[in-house]
Amino acid sequence: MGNYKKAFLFNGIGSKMEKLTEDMPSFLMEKFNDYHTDTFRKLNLYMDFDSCTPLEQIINRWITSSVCDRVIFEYYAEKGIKPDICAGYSSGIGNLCACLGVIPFDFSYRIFLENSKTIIELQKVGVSLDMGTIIGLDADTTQEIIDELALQDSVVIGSVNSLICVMISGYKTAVEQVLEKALAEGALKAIQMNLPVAFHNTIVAPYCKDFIDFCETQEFADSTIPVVSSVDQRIITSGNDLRYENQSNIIKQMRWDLTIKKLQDLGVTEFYDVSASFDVKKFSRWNKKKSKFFTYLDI
Amino acid sequence: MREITDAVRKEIEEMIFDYYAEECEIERNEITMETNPQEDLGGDSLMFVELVEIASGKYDLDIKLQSIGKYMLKAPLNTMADVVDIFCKIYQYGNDIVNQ
Repeated sequence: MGNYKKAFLFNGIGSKMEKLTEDMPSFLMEKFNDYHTDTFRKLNLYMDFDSCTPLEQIINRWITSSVCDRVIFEYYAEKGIKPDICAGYSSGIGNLCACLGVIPFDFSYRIFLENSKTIIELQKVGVSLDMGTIIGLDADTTQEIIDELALQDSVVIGSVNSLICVMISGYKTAVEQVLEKALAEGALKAIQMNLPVAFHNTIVAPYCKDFIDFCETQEFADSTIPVVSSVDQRIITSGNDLRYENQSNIIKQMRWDLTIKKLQDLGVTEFYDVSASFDVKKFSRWNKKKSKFFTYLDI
Repeated sequence: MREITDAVRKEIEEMIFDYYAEECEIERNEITMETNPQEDLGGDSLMFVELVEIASGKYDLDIKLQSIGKYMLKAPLNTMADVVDIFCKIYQYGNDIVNQ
């Protein structure tokens, strides 16, 4: 076992825009505003959220969330808190790579822009996809629901977040059917994400070639801080492996539950949520008895 | 069915109010029975699940979340009074709450 005590957890997409800076103190807001303005100027994006098209709003939200992560990561560093090991939930792997110096921040933001091309390709061919979160049912029960509805070819479990939280991904109508049935079967909550894409499902594989190719244009440096894959829980440090993780995780199922367990097994006792929405802490903190979870507001 | 005394009911209420006050970083005395746990406190279902775990440990309850979820279809949690009520029913009926 390595000398791992502190793990930084990076969030993916899906945070509510209004939640991101709601609790951010003014001294961090200043930094956020600087980075946010600079990033949006470089990428030629509209700052005015309401003037954006629905697709632009999605990209705007993803990149804004990513800028928040950078601010929070730097805040932890300023306070002397540095990770011994890291993990990224979904597209959080891109933010993670930028924060660890594996890729430039600008490139990590452009990853989101390239991902938007996946959505454009899907819209061109009229494929309607979505994702959803089920709270209160485990993965086996959720899979039983999918099987009972005979929707195995249309929707999959995209991530097992914990014993009581799963994310599903697939064709929009199938996602809706599973969420509805989940509620009837006793889920405490079933949340439709209303995203026009189904990450962590091979359905999107034919539509994300631009994104895969884009990742090849950038050198990924080796990381001095190890990273646990959210897909297969292997420990990664090489740049090539980190690039592959970025490329492959969008079509592969995540086992976030096993990722947290792996980190605990490696000796981690302190988890730091590098998100402004605190979502990672919320869905990761099972087995709390063994570990402490922090957000930047706890520091 | 397990009997519930006024003392246990009060203890459950204290446990729930203390939990929400701590998790939502709000003064304990600002929470009333009419407070909406989601809209007024920013509570969510993952917090509710954690509260179920705490109660299960404290009162040695064997309860499936699914049973609670099915009961909640009939009795949604709109106020803290609803939350207290559902935990009292969990204490009393366990998984049989679904038939109440």
